[in-house]
Amino acid sequence: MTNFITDLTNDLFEIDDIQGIINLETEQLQQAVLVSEQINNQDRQWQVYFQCLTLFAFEEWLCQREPSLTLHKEESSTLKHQYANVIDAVCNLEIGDFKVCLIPSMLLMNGEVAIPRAVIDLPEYAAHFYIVIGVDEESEIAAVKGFLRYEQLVNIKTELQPETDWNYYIPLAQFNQKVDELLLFLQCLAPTAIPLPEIPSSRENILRRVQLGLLNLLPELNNRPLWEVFTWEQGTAILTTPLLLNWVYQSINQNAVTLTNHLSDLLQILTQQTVNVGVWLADRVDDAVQTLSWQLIPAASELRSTLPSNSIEELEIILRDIQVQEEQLDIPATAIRAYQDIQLDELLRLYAIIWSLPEAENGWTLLLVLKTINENQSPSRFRLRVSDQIGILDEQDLITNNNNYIYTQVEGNYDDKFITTVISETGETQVFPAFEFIRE
Amino acid sequence: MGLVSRYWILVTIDSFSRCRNDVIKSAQDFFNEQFPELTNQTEIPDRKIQRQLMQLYQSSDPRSEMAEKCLRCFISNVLKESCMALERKFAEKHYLYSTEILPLVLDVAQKKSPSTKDKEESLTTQILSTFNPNKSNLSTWVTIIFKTYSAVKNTLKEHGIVQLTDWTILRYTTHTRLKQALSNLQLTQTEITQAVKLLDSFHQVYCTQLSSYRKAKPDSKFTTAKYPQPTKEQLNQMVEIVYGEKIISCEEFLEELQKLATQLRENWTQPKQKKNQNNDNHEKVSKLPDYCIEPFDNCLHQSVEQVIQNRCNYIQRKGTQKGQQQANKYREALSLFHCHGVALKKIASQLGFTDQPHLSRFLKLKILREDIGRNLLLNLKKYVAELSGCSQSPDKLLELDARIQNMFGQEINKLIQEAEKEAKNGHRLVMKSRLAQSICQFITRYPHCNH
Repeated sequence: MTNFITDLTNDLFEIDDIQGIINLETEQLQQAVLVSEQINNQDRQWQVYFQCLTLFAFEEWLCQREPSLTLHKEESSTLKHQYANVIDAVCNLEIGDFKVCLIPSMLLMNGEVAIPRAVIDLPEYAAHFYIVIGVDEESEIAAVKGFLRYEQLVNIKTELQPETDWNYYIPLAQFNQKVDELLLFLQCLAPTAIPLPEIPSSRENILRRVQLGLLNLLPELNNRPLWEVFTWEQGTAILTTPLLLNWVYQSINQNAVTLTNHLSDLLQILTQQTVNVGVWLADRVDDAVQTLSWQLIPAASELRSTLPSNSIEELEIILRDIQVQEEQLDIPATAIRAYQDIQLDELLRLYAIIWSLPEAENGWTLLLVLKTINENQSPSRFRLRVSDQIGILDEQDLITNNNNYIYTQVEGNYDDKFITTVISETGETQVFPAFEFIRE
Repeated sequence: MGLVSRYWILVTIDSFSRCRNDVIKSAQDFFNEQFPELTNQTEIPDRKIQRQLMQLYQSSDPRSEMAEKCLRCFISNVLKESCMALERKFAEKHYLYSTEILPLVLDVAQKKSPSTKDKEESLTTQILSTFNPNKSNLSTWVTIIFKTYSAVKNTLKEHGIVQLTDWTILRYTTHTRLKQALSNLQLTQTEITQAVKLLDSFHQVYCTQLSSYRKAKPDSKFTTAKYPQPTKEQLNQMVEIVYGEKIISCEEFLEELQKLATQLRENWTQPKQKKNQNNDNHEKVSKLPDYCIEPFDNCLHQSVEQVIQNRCNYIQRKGTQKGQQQANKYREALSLFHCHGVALKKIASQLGFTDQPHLSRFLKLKILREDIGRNLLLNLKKYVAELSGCSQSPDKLLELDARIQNMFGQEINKLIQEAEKEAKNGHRLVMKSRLAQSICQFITRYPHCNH
């Protein structure tokens, strides 16, 4: 009989504080399945499912214990795919002016809690309170197991080394297990009582430093966790750059060349100086413009320039020609016109024409024209590529004979940046600093 | 273990929810006829008997019906033993008694033959229809299904007992945790590398095929495991990943996984170490100054009202009739306990709760007191801040905060402790502590929810 009892009960586990148990409801379990199925990375679905249960359990607990406190979860990392894809905690949650971070754990486990170092070491993710939520999926129950304030966690952390999987492992016993005190703090404490670190302004420097490594390694990530591929410095650059997190999420299950090309454009946009065309509009002959090698062309009506008139006339002819093809295209007289000559395998000229869209559309547009300068050469092929932060917008090939030209037009809002690249057949590449339009 | 009589004694539940054992004479005769050699043996070859009975049961042989009877008897005995075993282990600490579980799992005693519907829905039928004598012996199979049966699972859960399966453990184990656990057990590097491979193959095969178990299936009361034992196909896939070719059987591989889970189990469920929370500072409890008593009492009443009202709102948050009934029961129980000094056990039976623990889980008195204490502090702060106009200056407010904490913190602790001590007293008198009285006052004033 003793054996029978042991066999029957050896996998049964006793819960001490039964009053603190939160029951997960069927709707919550179903909701968690729905959310997890939306993430486009099969390897992460379970983690997102588990995070959702954590989030819903905590929400339920709060609602039960102190309904005056409202949890704002719209911005939470779990509900945003690019974050849920890489972070094993529910961060960017808010209760009033407090930031809280939920650490998912097993209800039945009392050993060490794994906390991603990103949510402690990177101010972007730091929270006033770190709350360990124990979930038991099998029984559909959960409990708040303990919590730490930011400064307490930082204190504990100074004596620890993060593991190679970018987690700190902290014994549960070191957490404050009187979870009522958490409610007291949330109700009575001022958020300023727990100062959080500022986001350093040097983030861009890190990105510049590791740019090359990222360009080589990111396309080879193949759904693996970041820690298996990158150094922590590289990881920091990725985790603190939302656009790179977007890229990582987009790259799941694909390894197309276009993605890699876009990565190179994106890293340029993120790290290199940009041309603010808003300044061009305000002040036509600016020093900055000269140094970035763009030559401004005055509008046809005000011919007072010393520039060789051939570029002005040439552009006029081309634009008229384009407008015949594109009946919708209406280039206002106030549009900025500029050009730049570049030497790849041949001497090429790139025209950029920029104008604001009508007020209602709240954006701006960039028209690019690429042509050869010397007409009497054997034909060769050049590729023109335009990207913004999200992806490649257009790619076109120019074959240089018969005075050919190619053009492309892109539109965006005032947050968008457009980067242009010209590549020769032999792979020679010219990247132009990205255009942005900051309104005065 | 092993009594032959298990094959012919049928355990059932009578109409008074009592457990009864009946010798089924026809089954006994049949059994002795089939296995004449067993009558005088002490070692019962259960596996062999079960294989033979299953064969008959699944055949079109006329003996099929009797074979089924014997198997059903056996299953009912193991179910009863399982309930008794749970009682032995968990009665003292978790108030779990076999009388609560037996009616959930055993078939109801019937004079006439049971209707097909009853038969289909019975746990015994489920066990019988899923049993494969080549895979396990019947008693193991009974306990596996028994523990994942939703009614049993829920009852255990109500008493604070949950199952932690090998598969859950393996699912939640990461490389880092595995390495930590195994090096604690002082395994060699080669053994650890092998274990990592094993775990990887498990994750690769098992975990990507889980989502079908996450979707709620309305008719799945028998197979509720979210992490069921890996299937033969899954095991074969894992074997191929780890060993390349099939040099071990999937049964052997299953054992390897189970061994690994057992090694991890200990590491996982080590007892909780309570942190020294320095609660033992026996500070001198100072008496509250006279001018503070009135605001304190006002804030206390306000907090009692808030917290009880919140709790009622939470109970009936879904707007169902059941929720409303529950909320009314809640108030009634609070009233009986705090105003009339009725013992919890008596309240439980009076209001139709299974037992006292059931009522305690519903009332959550400890949490109620804590919530009142916390809100009291908050209300006091608001009161004082308004009075002194400190709310405009964060520094002053912080200072005030500390002072209130100093002044009232102990008082609130005392309040809660008194109420707790009083509540623990088995020989109930009408409660006299200030907290209990405040609760009583509020409930008496507003006996219905949504005042």
